[in-house]
Amino acid sequence: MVADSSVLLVVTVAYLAMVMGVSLWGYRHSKTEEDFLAAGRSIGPWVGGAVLAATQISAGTFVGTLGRHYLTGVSWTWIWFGVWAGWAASALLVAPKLRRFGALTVADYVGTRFASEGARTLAAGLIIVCYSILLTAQFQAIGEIASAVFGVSPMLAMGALLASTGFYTALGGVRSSSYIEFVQTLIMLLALVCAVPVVIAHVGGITALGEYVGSIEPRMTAWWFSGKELLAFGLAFGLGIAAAPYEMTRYYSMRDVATVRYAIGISMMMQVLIGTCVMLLGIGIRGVFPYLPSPDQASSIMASTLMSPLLGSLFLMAMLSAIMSTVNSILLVTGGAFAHDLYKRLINPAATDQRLVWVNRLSIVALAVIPFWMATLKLGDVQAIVIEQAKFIASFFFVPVVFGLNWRRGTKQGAIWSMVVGFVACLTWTFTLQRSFASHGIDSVEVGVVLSALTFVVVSRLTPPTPEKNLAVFFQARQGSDPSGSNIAKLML
Amino acid sequence: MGFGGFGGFGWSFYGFFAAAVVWLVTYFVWAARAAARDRRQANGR
Repeated sequence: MVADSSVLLVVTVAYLAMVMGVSLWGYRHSKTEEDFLAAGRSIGPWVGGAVLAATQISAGTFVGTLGRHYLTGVSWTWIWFGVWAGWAASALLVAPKLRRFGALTVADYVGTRFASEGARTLAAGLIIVCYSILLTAQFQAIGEIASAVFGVSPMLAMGALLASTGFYTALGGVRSSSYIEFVQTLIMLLALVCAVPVVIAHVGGITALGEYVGSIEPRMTAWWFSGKELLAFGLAFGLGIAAAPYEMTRYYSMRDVATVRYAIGISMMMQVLIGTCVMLLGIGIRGVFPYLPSPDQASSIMASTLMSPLLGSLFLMAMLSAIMSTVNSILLVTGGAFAHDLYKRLINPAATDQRLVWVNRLSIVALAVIPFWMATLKLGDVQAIVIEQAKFIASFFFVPVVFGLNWRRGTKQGAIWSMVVGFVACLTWTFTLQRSFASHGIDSVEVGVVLSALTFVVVSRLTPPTPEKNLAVFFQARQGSDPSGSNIAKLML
Repeated sequence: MGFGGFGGFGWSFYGFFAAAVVWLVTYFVWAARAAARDRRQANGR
């Protein structure tokens, strides 16, 4: 039982010691902004793949997704193909071009591709706002898990998350964060893979589980959701993944273009394993506890009742890793957006590299404290906040990124108006029209992306093209795998 | 829509694994070919 606090304490201390040790190593090796925000372009495919998996897997996977399988069975797992379609789109249309560009932030791309400081500032500002809201949800999640599993005050748990994650992110930047996320992904995989046989053994094996759960509700072992529903959910997830800033910035830190492609594949391989285990655990817990009051309780009840002290503690560390890795990735993006895209461009263009590293660190701390405060106000349900912010990001960012990287004629006015229209359309649909149109199954993200795309194309056609020198880096013939790690962005920015 | 099939699960269960394997194999074959093509172009061939 996890109630055996001595085992949990030892596991937690060992985990935090690892995190702090790697952070101190990263601190000593982060002298320049390129070190801090892009790990000196040194990340290989396995660490890179684990990083991409860790940033995507969050508390929502361990609580929300597992709970969804508990409630509806197998078919929800097909949603992963929407996620992987987003990854494939990124590998095909986004990641290689961004890595060849080799900048430091996503707004760097916007500013250079569209030759517009206004578009850069708008992108940086919207990213900071949306990701601060996502961070609020992560703080709320840790508060709720700590309260439900340990009976610990949510404020204490949120404070611990703020102190630990804020500290190690600010200290070591992308370099140490990448290696910490590699270990965190291994912890998640190990905990999930070990948990599956334990839970299935409780119901007498996989065949007994299938027959029992199918007898409770036949759709659980067949199709709970229709193909149309799965496609709509999958599309929403895929659009968010293809242009997610916290994934895109990590491409910059990898060695070369080939590494980025392989890292995405390795990340999907890990996600297949994670998705399979989460599905089996959700169904397995339904077999053991068929009538829990809330499906979201499935994972914490499993960790505290079905597992040995060591495995239960490992599973809780995996949940903690999922939250910490997401928080860490978001902070790196928001801190970088403020320090690199706002402070350096608008406040102090003469800032030295060393000063910028420290502004990054201070921005990370400041941008962690604000969502912490917002989380204490409990603005909404955790899962709803996570989903809504992902829709907003996709609505204002998918088109400038995916279209902008693959259509030369896109202009700065097209980019700026597509971001504004996508954001406002998603906002309007979410808060006004969505309810009355709910029967049509049209989601706010689909409305946001479609209107953003139309705006981008129409406005771009009506405005002067982007200068050729800004387009060359994104549209010239492939330049090989950039083995030297040299980056074109240095010449452009 | 009824449940059943091999081992108590229907093809929504087994089909997922089969589709995931096909997806990954296709992806890695594409990634390897893209890397080889990039190397050829970098070498000017």
